[in-house]
Amino acid sequence: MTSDTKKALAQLRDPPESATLSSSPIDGAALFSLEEFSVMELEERHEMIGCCGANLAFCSTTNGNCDCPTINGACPGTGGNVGCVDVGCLPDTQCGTNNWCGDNEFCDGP
Amino acid sequence: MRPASPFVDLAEEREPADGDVAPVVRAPAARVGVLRPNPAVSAHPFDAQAREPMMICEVPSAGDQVARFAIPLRLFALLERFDGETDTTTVIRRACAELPNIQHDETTLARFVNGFLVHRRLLLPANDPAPLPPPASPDTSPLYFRVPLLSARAVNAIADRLTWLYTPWIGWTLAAGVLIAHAVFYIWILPTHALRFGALSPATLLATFLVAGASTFAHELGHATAAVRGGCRRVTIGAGVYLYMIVGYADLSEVWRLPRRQRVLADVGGVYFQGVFASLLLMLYLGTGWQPALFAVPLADVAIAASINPFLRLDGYWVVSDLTGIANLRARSRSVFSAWWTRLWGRRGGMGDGADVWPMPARATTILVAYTLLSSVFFVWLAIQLSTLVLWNLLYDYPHRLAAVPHELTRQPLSAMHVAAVLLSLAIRTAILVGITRFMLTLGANVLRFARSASDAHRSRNGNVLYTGGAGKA
Repeated sequence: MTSDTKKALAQLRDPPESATLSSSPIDGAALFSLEEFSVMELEERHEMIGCCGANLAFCSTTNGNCDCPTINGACPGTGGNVGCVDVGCLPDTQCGTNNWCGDNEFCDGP
Repeated sequence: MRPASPFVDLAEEREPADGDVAPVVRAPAARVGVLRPNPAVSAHPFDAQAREPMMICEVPSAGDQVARFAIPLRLFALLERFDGETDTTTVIRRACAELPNIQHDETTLARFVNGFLVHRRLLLPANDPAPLPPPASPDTSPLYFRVPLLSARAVNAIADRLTWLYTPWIGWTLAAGVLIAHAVFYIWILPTHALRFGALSPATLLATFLVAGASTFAHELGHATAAVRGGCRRVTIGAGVYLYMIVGYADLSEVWRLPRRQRVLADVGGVYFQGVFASLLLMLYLGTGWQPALFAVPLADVAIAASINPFLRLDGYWVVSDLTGIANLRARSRSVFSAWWTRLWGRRGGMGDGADVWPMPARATTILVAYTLLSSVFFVWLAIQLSTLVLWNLLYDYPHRLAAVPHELTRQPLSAMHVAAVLLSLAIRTAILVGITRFMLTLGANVLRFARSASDAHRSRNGNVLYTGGAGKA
């Protein structure tokens, strides 16, 4: 526990001069939610990265060549998959969302 | 399900309604008994944006899981007052009298004790030697499928031997080396080497595949090593599917207890290790000419570039969360969005003023609002892109991929490599399709929920029905 926390905790424990003791009975029939008390359950931290290697299979086809899936099923200006074989599959291998084979030899997205 | 403990019996759970933003428990009408702190609970100061000092309490729960709660220090002080001897009523009454900043009356504190501290087993019945295990926390991981690959013990064994890489002077030196290596690669090597993946032999392609996988492992090890260096001992490494991506992951939930600076170090540790790994690959290629080492470098870099996206829960998301100190960034961003949506229809949401459910300083709230705006735009864009991918690409292509399997299996001579390639290609497309479909269904359900809350608000405004909240979960 840091010194700041200890200090704050000690301040909380100081007997109050004007503390008011509630006379109401211990009766909590209302709905309970964590937010009411500024309590929060922390989310799980799964720190992730896309597996390029795993998605490399996205590029492989039965003939061992890369294909480059595009909106019309072929790379613009290449007449087929060949144009994407070069480096066109790079973004594709990253996350499988390669709709962006541009007109240069590099994919321009995602 | 109602637990059998006489103490927890009083806490009556109900299913959350549409408008609820957090689990809801109906607190008991009366509490008597003696409670003691759960000895398995550990507490640490919580370094995050808040308007008051916070503690983080780690509570072991079912299935070897740990639930982590951020609790205001003033309420943590109440927890500390339970000694296993004093009656609960007395403890609460004394706390109200002696803790000036506790901010709640006895009635409310009784609800807090029973609805949270007892329910989540931060407090146990003093006379119950074998209390029930705590209720399982909801799975908040965005991974819809995950396979642990390295246990905490194995991670500790490896990471303990690598913590020296985080010695400041070594870290800065290596980071400079990574920059130089990448400058060499992109300025001198890439322009003169056509990286033709399709021209690779199946064996070289497979080797590239494995080396790229090793680079992903190095990335996760970077996260894990930074966390272990900070004192965490429960870090695990695995693989899973997130949205449409096959991913490697490190479970770093334990780093919540670390100061923000160390959390950020753990967040960027993956890029650091993977960058060093890619630089070593480049040196290996320059020394031996081994092609998989060369091809894996840009693959690693593309993955690193994608990982800094702050809107998907990749490294960039956690960097933003820890740099700004906004814990549960996604959930709170959704809360802000929900509140806006509800206000748009003329009503306030179910979260007070609607800005955030957890009070923060104004600057942090401003950052949260900006993040919410940007992430909303991003997810609209992503939904459009994914729709295009599914409709025009994956579904169109899927029957052909499916038909290729029997074709390869019956082809003579049978090629194990080709069969594996076809199966793997089909499996990855299937995983992506399932992931996108799941994402779209969730998105659709949320749109419907928002639409319904807007409709309710509209009718409420016209005096037809009473508005019931309806902030919902995005």
